Amino acid sequence: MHSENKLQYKVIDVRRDSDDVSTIFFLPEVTVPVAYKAGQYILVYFPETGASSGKAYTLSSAPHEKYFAITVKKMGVFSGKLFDLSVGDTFYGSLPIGYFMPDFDDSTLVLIAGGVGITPMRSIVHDVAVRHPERHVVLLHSVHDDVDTIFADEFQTLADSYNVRAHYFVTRSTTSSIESARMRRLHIAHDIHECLAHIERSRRDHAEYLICGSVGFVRDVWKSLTCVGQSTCELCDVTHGEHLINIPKDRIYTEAFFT
Amino acid sequence: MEKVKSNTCSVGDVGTWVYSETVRDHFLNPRNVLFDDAQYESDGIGIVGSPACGDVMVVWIRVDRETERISECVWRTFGCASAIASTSMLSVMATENGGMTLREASRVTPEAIIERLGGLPDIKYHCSVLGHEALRAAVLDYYAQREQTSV
Repeated sequence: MHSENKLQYKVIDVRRDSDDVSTIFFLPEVTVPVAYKAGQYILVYFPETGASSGKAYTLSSAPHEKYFAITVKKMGVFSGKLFDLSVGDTFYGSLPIGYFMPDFDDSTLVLIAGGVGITPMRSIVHDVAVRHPERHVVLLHSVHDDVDTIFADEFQTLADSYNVRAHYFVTRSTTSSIESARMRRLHIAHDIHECLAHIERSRRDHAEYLICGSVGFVRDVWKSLTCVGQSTCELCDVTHGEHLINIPKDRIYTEAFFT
Repeated sequence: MEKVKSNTCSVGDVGTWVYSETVRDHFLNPRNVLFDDAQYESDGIGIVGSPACGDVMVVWIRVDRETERISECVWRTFGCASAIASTSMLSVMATENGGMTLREASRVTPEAIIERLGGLPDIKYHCSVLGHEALRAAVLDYYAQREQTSV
């Protein structure tokens, strides 16, 4: 049963990832399959909160998985309603929509996420592992502390079997249980070169960059990425020699969360 | 009473923000607006938003069939100053320097539009998102129409 162009979804499971982050697992209550692509989102509707047009939540589940999932950080009234859903509850949402996904099947993927911006990346990484296991995926995740690295174990499991490498940048803590974590802010121009160094030049030049996070995070990363490949980068005062990476602007895709 | 600066807008509880001169220019002197679409023949049309959300954007494109670049990009927007300025700037970006390729047009980012505008308040980010979605929709419509005519 649905109203207008909305589907009714039913919650089948809830996982508390941290004090303020939950993953809601749900299924559409329709008789026909609902397909989606990794990186897409649904609009969730809670009109009683005053948001009549709904709010976008990226699917953290991968298309081959038997359920839909969104990972929610409780920040206000709307996200709080999602966060508080229980098994058996229903809510209205749109069909999956959006274009935050790679255009090519054979490119190297560089995924740059800030905080909860990791959610579409989980979907994309799992999808790539199933459909294109030979593909190189490099994930850079900027987090406040270890609590935000909610999918780290999954990415490590994938790294053991596929060409997936995850790098963490912890900005508000001096310790991390992730041995390779860098306890500092992400420095795009420097870190892109370092994190892609293991990939041959031709594959590095055929890469797509996906950035997801807050408006400010996405803006700063986008600006920095458009700087990479120049002989000097004004933003970080670094001069690069022979390992310049070419990043055309039409290979950089962004998705920003705004409240 | 403190005099409000001419380029500062203070609205309710969302605080103050400053529009760049470029935003003001494109709002007050928008480029490539299509006022009467009755006789306009486009190769693709993209419509995004809804009056309920407060912003509606319609973008029409013409495509050079030989180069597959955008030769014309006209639009009409129902929305705020940021929405109008965003679509105006996008129409300029789409057609300058020989025109964007269709791929470039489908992948222009809100950040690129905002950078050309000299910045937008974060609360107005969604205005540039609608702009890039409208252009993408117009490109997809062009592809769809081309497939239909080639069958």
